[in-house]
Amino acid sequence: MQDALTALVLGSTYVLLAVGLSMIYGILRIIHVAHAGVYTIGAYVGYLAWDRTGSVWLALIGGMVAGALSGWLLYALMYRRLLEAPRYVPLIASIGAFIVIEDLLAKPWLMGSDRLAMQADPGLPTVRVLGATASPDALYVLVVTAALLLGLAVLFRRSDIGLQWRATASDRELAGASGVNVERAIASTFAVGSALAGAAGVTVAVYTESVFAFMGEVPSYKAFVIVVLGGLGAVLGPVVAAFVLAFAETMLIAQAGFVLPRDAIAFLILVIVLIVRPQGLFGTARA
Amino acid sequence: MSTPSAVRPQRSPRSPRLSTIATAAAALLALGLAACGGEDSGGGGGGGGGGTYKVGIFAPTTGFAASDGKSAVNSAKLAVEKVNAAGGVDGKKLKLVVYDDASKPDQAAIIGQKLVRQDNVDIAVSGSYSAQTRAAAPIFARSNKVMIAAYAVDPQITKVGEQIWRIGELASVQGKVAGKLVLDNLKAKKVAILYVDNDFGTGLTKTFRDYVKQNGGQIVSDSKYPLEEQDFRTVLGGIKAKSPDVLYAPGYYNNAADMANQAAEIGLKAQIVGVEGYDSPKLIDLAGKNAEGIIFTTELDRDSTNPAVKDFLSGYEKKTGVKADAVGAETYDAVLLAAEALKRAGSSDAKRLVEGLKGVKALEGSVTGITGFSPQRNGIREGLAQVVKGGDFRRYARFSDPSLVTPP
Repeated sequence: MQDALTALVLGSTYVLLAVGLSMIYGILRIIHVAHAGVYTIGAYVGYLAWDRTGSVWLALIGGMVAGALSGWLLYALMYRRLLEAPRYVPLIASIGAFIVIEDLLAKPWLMGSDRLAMQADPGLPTVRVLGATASPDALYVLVVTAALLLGLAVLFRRSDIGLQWRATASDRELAGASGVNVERAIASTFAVGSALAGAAGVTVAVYTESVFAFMGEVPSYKAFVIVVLGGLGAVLGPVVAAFVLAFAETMLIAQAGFVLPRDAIAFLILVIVLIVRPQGLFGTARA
Repeated sequence: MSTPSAVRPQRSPRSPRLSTIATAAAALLALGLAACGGEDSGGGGGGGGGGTYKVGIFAPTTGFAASDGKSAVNSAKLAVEKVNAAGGVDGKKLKLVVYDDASKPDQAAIIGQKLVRQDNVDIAVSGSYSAQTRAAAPIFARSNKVMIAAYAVDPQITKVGEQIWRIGELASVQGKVAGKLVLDNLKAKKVAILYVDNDFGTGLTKTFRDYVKQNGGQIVSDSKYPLEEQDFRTVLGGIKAKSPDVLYAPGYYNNAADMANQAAEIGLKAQIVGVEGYDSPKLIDLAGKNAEGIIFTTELDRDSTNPAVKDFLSGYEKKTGVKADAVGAETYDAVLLAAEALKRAGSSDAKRLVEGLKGVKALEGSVTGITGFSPQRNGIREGLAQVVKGGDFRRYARFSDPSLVTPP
């Protein structure tokens, strides 16, 4: 049972990052590697907010605002100019942006390359259910993830902007011709998806009790595995895929120890799924 | 996968895409160097003619291991200041030539070439991990330059030639000391092992495991983890079910901090026993009160009454604003040994340096307590364990039995 809970928390940390990435892929069809940079920025701003105030909730807000802002800036300053370029151009730009973000953060005059301790107290109780114990940090991750996913679902289903996102994602030109403000839909997708990445950074920082400049490296490709597993561009898919992956990893480790690094496990599962279902777990085969 | 030796990275290596770019860049750099390398080899000549001896050093001052690299370089500078303040070596001042290897073996190899051909240093010090040191050592040996490895633990390093020496403690010594500590001092019956999956962790674990088995201890759990792992909850849960007295966990301070935090979270009560990779103030910073009581084998004794150690501890803190660690202490000793070799040789001629080094018994001013060198050119000293107590490192035990602490 404890392992199931560990997997649930792990999946939650994956899901917030992967959903934003999937939304952005869905609307622009770009491989947004720098999303993991946004996640790192969110974590650091969350850390700074916590360091000043002691509140993990203000840290969350700070991380989400910083995430939204940096994601939107990446779009406005970089991707928007590259939309008509061949697909590899924004990809390379994105990798470059990710490296720049990491290395800038690691500069001694910014945050430095040392791992910084964040022993935050979320002020939540320790909860015991069905023989499993959820620490306050774990509970924080679960609560934040559940709330944000719920909010996102409402936004998607019940709001105008959600409708515009879905329209723009399914066909940008047609949506534009039908009166959707495509520019606004794309920019807001970046802002919201990146706010989720910022939240992911903050929850991971609280759960691992630390932040560091290169914390985005493993999540950067882990999130892609999840997005591809879930079916590119979908939103429900990555949510399910994140938890499937987290459970698979945790159960394998519980049974056999670290026979493979977690990331190798992720890629192994990806390969297997792509052989069986090339469109991903939930994707639909598109022309 | 790189194989850091004495210490503790914080992140995984770059993803494949990025490392490809890095490798390409390194290759370009290497080409550039190869093209211009021959031109400046004329330089300063072997003897460091102009009143100075050049001591080359490489360490990871950027990238994930930057805190170790900075510790190494700052300590090397401290040692150089100390030697120069005392009049230098035969009236010649030491001059440090510093390079950053960013924890990349290919980079360390390039730097090795640079130090030999371009800078024409008189003697070199590795302030870096095993993989980097192993990459650079053959270059120095082939060019007939003496190199002293500060804290890299891989036994192979000194085997490439008589020019290569080591201050640090071999895994085969440290693992035995830990075995003795666990069975005799802690009187443990049931032992669990969880080690980092690289040369450092595997080497220490092999010796420790053999010692424990041969001396009547019972190993109830024995598993490894990848260097970049941050979530040990699941494996620690499995270990808890076996209720061991001691968890021996070779790794680095990052791994140790995560383990200590998560062991507290899941209620694992076993005594954690670590290795020199734990020896950083960052351990206490990252794990806070969960670090209390952790015991580890290392080389820097904070409770030493030796004036050289006290000087180093206070001098380092004064210079950098942070507390010294074992990596720094070993690098400091490596520079002192370099100075001693130059003094004994009276020149930077490799043959005479090696002869000089062979004569070194107790290294004067040594912070890690070097009492001589073994036939395979490894530093000899007493074994040492420190414990985290009141948010600081304190002496736990010393081990002087020669059968335990003498390296090959």
